[in-house]
Amino acid sequence: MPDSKKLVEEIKKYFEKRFGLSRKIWGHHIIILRNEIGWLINPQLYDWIFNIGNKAYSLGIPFVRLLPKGIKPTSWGLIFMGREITRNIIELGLEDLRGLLYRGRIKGSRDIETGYVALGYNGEIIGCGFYKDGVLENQIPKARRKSLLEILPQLK
Amino acid sequence: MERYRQIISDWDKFSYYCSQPLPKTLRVNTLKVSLDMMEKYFKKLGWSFKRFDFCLWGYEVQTGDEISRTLEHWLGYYYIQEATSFISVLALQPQPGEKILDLCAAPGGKTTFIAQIVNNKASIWANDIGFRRIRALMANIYRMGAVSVIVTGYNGLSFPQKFKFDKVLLDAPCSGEGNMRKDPRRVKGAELGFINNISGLQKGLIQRAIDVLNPGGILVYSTCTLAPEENEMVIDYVLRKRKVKVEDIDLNIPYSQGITEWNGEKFHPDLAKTMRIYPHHLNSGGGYIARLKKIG
Repeated sequence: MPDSKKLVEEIKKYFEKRFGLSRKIWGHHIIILRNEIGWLINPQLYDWIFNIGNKAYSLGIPFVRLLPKGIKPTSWGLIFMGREITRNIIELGLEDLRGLLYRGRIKGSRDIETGYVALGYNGEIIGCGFYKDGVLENQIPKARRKSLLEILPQLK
Repeated sequence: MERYRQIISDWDKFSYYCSQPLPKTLRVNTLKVSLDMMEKYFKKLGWSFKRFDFCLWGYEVQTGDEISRTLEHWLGYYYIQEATSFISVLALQPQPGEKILDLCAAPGGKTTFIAQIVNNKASIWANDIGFRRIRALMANIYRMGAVSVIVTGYNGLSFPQKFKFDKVLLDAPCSGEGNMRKDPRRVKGAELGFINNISGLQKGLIQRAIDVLNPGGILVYSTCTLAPEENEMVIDYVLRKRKVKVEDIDLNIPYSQGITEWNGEKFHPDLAKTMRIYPHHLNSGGGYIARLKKIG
């Protein structure tokens, strides 16, 4: 595991650059690395976490996954940040959303650099996607995708 | 339920409400959305709504829609929650900066309500056992944006005593008789054998819940059942086993006092300070709440 302070700083910089998150966010929340996940917690939890060791199933909410190829934002994390996200949002219409959820990817060239994006619908951030070469891939986890598909007929 | 006729003074009203469908109720999650904004969403969805008298964040909504099937629910803007289940958290009076344990937390409605009340500014520990229950708990914590919560899977009976808390919520596993309006099979009441068995588990859990409290700490014990064996008899038992006292619950809601006698057995007189909620009190399910303070 690389130096955790350095990695946390890298995560913050990534979110600042990729999603336009203000540095002020980190006055209220901290990131702690455990089990290849960067967890977003409130500062009050910090002391406890070291006493619990590895017994905790979950700490706050999973914010990023630490993959061999780099940082991957989670859908939970992007939804949590919601309106704080100002960059690299792909706003979807209902048909695009349906296509993305059913097929896992949709085509369509956009003026966006390759990388992870925040998926938007109706002004809300609904999860994570990955954009490359005119293809948008769904990154919303299976169970959440399924429950979103269930409410799709109600969406307008 | 007939065996409760002797302790439920307004029996006809009780029986009538038990036969009626439950209203659709929810808690707006102010960690994610303001009440004003949510009321605008309700209007946009075509729902009529009424705020609870006793809780700012509780709403009853009238709609033909399935209220779990909206984007707002999926995003965690509200949690579908019965009026009764607000009461135990309100009785706990969680404060920012406190260390709070929810010992039997799944599926997380009460845990995330605690996080909401303290605006994610306390240390909340949600515990439960069983993979499915923990998975549901975590999903609700993430959906509601409760970054102040950690989740563990200890058996509540052997929760490590090295950790100490200012407040503990024990919403104990129970026979669920108070859910008669959700599940009509429960109207006839639970089997006495089952009630007696689960009462043993509740007595074990409540002792452990007190053992992990700091001196002066508060425990709220709640169930969604009407059986005195799972309610007053558990509290009466623990008053003899641990140094705790029953506290008044300072909430302005209709309720019935806890009973101090059942089938000829007399209980501690302070049990009258505990609360029985019947379906006709809040147009909800039934339940029981006691607030205890650890002495010394």
